[in-house]
Parts: sequence; C-alpha cells; structure tokens
Amino acid sequence: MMPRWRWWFLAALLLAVVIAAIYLPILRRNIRQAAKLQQRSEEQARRELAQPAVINPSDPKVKAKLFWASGADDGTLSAVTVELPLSSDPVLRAKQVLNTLLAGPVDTELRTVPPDAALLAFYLLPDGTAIADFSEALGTSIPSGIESEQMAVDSVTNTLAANVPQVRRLKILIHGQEVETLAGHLDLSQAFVVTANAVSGPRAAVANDGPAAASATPQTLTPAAAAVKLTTPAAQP
Amino acid sequence: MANAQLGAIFVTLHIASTGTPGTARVYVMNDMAPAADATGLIPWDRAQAPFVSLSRKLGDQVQSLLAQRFKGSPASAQTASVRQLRTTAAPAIAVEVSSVTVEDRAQLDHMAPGVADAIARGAAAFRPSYVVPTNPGERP
Repeated sequence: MMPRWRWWFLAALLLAVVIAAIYLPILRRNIRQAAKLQQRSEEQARRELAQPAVINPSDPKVKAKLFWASGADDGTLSAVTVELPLSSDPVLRAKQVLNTLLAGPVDTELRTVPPDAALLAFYLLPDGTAIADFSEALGTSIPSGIESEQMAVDSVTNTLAANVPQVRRLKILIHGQEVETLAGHLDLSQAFVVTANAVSGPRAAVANDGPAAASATPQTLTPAAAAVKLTTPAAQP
Repeated sequence: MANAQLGAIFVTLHIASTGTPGTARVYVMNDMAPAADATGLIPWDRAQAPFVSLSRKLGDQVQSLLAQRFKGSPASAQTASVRQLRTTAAPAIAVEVSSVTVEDRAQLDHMAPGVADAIARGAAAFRPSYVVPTNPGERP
C-alpha cells in the first residue's frame, strides 16, 4: 500500500500543474500587453521629442481638413474635418496639422503615412516654399509602390493646401537630407506644388501644353475634373 | 517594333504593395518645365520634359487596354512624379500591378499575359505618333 505522504505529494503536484495551466496563458497575455505598451510608449516618446509644437488650447478652434485614405483601396484620399485649436502663425499651424495627420485617423487602415513617422522640422520661406523634414521612418516604413508613396505625399500636400494657404510649394527632406525618392519610386528631388484646389481623387493625366505645363515643379494636385481626352495622334513626318 | 526602333519607348513594371488586387495602373510624369541647356546636352533630371505629352498618349492607350482586361483599373493614366520616368529621354510609362498582398502568387502570374498584351498593343497603337526630336532636349 502507498504511504500517505505520497498521496499528499501527488495531490500537491497535480494542484501545481492545474494552477500552472490556468496561470501560464494569463502570464503570457500580460507579457504581450506589457510589450505592446512599451512599444507604444516608445513611439509616443519619440513623437513627443520630435514634435515640440503642441496644440495650444488657447488658440481659436478651427475646422481643419485632413486628408487620409478614402478606404476605397484605389489610391484616393478623402478629407476629414477635425476641429482643432490652430495657431495663426503659418509655421506653427503647419506643424499642428501635420502632426495631427501623422497621428493618424481613428481607423488605422486609412493611414497614409507610417505610424512611426515624425515631423522633425518645418520651415516656410518668404516665397511660399515650405520645407518639411520627416524622420527616416517615412521612407523606410511606408509600403513601397508608386500608389502608396503618391498617397503619402498627396495627403501631406493636400492637408497643407487646405489649412495653410501661405504654403505654395513643398520640399520634403528625410532626416535633414535631400533624398532622390521616398521609398524607391516617388521623386523627392523637386518641390511639390501645393495649390488650394486640393482634390480627393486620383490624378488623371491631363493633356496641357499651356503655361501651366511650364511649371518648374511637379503638378501633384491637378484637379481630376479637368481631365480631357487626348487629341488624335499627329501624323508621322 | 522594339528591334526596329531601339529605345523608342520606355516601360517600367512594378508590383504595388497596396491597391485592389487584380488591377493595374499606368503612371506618367507630371508636367515639367521644358529642358533648356545651352550645351545641347539633356539635363538629367529634366530628360522627360519634351516627352510628357507623348508619354500621356502612350499611357492612356495602355491604360485603356488594361482597364478592359482588369476590372476596377482606372480608365486613363495617372500622373505621378516617378523618379525612373523623370530621367528618361523617351516616351515613358510605369505600369504598377496590384498587389504583393495576394495570398496566392498565381493570381499575379495569371495577370502577366494580360499586362504584356496590353503593353504590346498600346505600344503598337502608339507607334504612328512617335517622333524623334531633331535635337537632344527639344520638344519632338
């Protein structure tokens, strides 16, 4: 016959196994949550360090238009009106709207810029040329492709056009440096034209050989409504 | 045609990370200032300037054919400041197929003949309108 202490020992062992089986999944979940929280707080800390221009609640509240993905999965953007206390100073105002844009929409699927991208600096020259310096994450974390890169730039230029009328052109820097492309496709070597007639749809190619065609910078905000049919091909000489 | 007119057009193919799977888009450069260089050399970052209109023509032709084959694709070419197009001294388009997110790569493989056919037909239809500029950097 088995001695009594062995029964007690086996019972205690069984109890320990049952407790471990219950506790281990909870422990695993807690560790995962803690890791997520740490990751989020690191991102938040980086964002806070990089964005000294915080929204001042004493500024008058303005209906700001921010451009995020429309959700149609076709490269279109849609304007979301958000009430924000915005400064009257164009540089501060630009920083405020861009930081809100980078913080992202409620639906994270509609993001146009990576969550870890941050605005490092923003300058506005007297001729209306703005220089926006973003962190490296803008180029490294964005899904590579013409459509996604164009959407990212369009969301920035459209948002500036809608909220900071003083901005006429936008030059994008990455970590203080000029770069050739955003993520291998979209050309960042030139400044982008920022016009008031910001559009939400994709830009159809427009045949235009008039004065507008002689612009020194890429026309990224051509109104889709202005799309016209191309003329009959010229005869070969 | 490609052998007879070497370098007549430039087509760059891409697979997108976004967009509706099974669709294809054609991109052409935005309007650019005409290249002006006293030396007669083609300014590297303005090489596409004299060809923007022709690129649009080619882009629209290819895109209309792609739209017939791949439902959900746009009807006409889109504009984007694509680095590879800016520096090309020829009618140039970028074709981007959506997307790398498909679960089965066979979905993309199935698109290949349709994309190739649309580009070939578009290039063939474009051929009569192609004109070589007399001097480098000039509008053709």
